[in-house]
Amino acid sequence: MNYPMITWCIIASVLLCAFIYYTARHRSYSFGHKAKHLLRFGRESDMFYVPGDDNIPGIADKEDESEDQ
Amino acid sequence: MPGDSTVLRQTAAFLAEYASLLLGCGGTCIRIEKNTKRMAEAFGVNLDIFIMPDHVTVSVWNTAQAHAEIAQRRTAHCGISFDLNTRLSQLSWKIADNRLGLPAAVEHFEAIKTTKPTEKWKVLILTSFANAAFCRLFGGDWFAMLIVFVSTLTGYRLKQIMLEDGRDVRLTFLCASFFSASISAGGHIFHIGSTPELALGTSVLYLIPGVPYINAVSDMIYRHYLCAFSRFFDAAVLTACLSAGLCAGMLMLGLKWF
Amino acid sequence: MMWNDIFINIFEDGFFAAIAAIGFSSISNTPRRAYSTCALIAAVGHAIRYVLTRPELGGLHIIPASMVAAFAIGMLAVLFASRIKCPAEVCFFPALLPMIPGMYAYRTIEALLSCLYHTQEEVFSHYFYLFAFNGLTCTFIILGMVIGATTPVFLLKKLSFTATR
Repeated sequence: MNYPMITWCIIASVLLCAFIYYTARHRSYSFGHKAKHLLRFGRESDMFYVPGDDNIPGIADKEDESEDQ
Repeated sequence: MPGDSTVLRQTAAFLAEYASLLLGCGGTCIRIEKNTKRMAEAFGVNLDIFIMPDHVTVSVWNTAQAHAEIAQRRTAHCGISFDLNTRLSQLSWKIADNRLGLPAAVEHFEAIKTTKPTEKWKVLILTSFANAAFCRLFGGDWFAMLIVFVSTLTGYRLKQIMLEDGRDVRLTFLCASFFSASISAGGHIFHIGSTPELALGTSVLYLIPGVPYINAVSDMIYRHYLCAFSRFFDAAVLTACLSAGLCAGMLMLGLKWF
Repeated sequence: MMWNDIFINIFEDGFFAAIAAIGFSSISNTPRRAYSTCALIAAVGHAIRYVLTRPELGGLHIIPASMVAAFAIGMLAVLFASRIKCPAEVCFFPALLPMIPGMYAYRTIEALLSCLYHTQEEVFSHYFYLFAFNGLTCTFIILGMVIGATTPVFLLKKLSFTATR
């Protein structure tokens, strides 16, 4: 096996892991467990959130996304 | 009359919300103008509309009155939807032809807002088939089509997951094109079929934001240059992201670009 | 025998363009009743472009060929729009999607990245040439397509803006 083949397999397995991780997390959500995030990306609205704002970031975003699909 | 002013304000608010939704679902500026003007005529008011890429401002006034009501709304972020576009256009004609009052119009509008998008699994499968067919149009063989089908399936699913998770659109496009391109480069690496380079080239085409490009030119024809520029640049940035993802994938796998 | 082959090729081109149109338009939530019409219009449009660009048939450059095909798409869309009660653009946007020059679009950016990567003048100008060529072709195909498809909307104004009535 040469170098590109190994890289290809690594990329494919990373993608596979991402899908498995997503499915597993989705399952655990439906059982009522909260998934713990080690690392997570910030959102745009986190940056501009001022305490006292009506819409809590995250919740407001969630609604937007459901429409986005 | 105080009552009159309230009605005027409500009309302005309704028209602004209508325009913001129509702009958000990918309506062209000329359609927004025509539809809102048509409804304003039915309501018996004068209207001016000011469309910016991210906001819509509507000014509504009576011929008898000197003062106008102004409503400004942020563009709805609902994603491009021809279904919504159709329903909103139908609503405008319904209002114009049947002389619907404002309360009935608002009721219809609220019902349209709840329109469900196409099921995501259906979109996933249809898009994968579409991209495979696209590969055929460029002259790919059956193996290339199969490779493109699989890479589109995985890439588009990744895009759906990331958008559901609320990730940035540009990051999503970068990741989706990177993985799609990498998966389809398997044709090159494992020597499958006779046209692996076409499989690699077409694997990311499902990400090209075609509708914003068409909208941009359409707005340009009707002299809405700011909206046209904004839409074009949105699309160009997404194209740049997907191209960067493709290049990154090819670089990692040691393939030549040209 | 030769004509037979050509007809099969044209038919095949239209068929796959129709599948592509349905799939790509499903991303943008096309109403279900519009699918078959969009597919038909896309098939006709793409087949016209195929005939026009083939060296042994039309031999036209891709930009005018796209424009002519888009004009046909626009005509059909305006005629069919009132039948399925959708605005004309809901008919012709999905039909135009398979003709969007996606390959040229991302090749432009690829060439730009290659420009940055290479410093030698000759190599740089080669990639810059590719960048300009792909970019210009892409821009003008889209321009021609939309102008071609919008002209029928202008010509048949009455019909196209009352489609959803």
